[in-house]
Amino acid sequence: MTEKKPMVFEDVPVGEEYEDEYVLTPELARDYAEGIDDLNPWYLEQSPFGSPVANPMLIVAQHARLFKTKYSTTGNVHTRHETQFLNPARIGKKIKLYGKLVDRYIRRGREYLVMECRSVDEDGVEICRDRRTIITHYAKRPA
Amino acid sequence: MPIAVEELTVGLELEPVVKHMSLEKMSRPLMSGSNPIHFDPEFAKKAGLPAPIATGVMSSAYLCEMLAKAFGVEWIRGGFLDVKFIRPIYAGDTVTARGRITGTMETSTGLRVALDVWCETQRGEPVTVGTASVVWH
Repeated sequence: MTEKKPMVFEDVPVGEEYEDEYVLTPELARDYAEGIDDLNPWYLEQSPFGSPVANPMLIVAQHARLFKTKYSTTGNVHTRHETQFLNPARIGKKIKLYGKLVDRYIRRGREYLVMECRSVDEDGVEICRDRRTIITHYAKRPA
Repeated sequence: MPIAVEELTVGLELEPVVKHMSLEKMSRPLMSGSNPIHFDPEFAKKAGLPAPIATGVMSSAYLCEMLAKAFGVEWIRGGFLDVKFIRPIYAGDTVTARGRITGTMETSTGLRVALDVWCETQRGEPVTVGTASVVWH
């Protein structure tokens, strides 16, 4: 496995793009359901859409993978997300994720990165759009 | 059961969702992203925190559970959620997700419902705050 470079705030360029993909397996859906204690049968057995669909927040949580395609992100903390859910994500589908760094700023000693992301299934169905803000470290920069 | 459309009035509070934050759940790779700030007490201490903190999106998931119960398929295929994680959630905390309808508006595609949403801990502090909206077709 290729070692990722540590995330250094100044070296992450605005405009940088990221891509990744994964398969939305029943095991992933169950692992997430158990982790958040939401065993809604829509996510595990059958939904009003027919087959089971993913918990929408599982799809959003997977957007954290995008920075990891290029950087070692130990210590990042998520501070905000603005998410539009568009379509159910069907279990069994391959999900492609796309992201672009759209802003980078320092506020009150903390380093903020803003990424716009979206998830699309293997049939081209857009599942959600998400604008996520993280701080690179909880600790503030030295003054 | 989702809320009936005639019940969607300003001021209505959604049925809250209550969760206990165990280190076991916070430590799962899918929850923590293998980021030690979410499960390693020593790493958290070095970062200036008294204990590991839950990922913010765990609290978003609790809000999502509340909103999916209230709005059913409409939430899954068209909900909007904008939240900030304003305080840490520590292992051992109890988190309650809440929501209140702040507005309704007829649109060309259906009734748009706007809400304030938030999560608070057993200390009574809000930890996650924001807004949500959904169109009832």
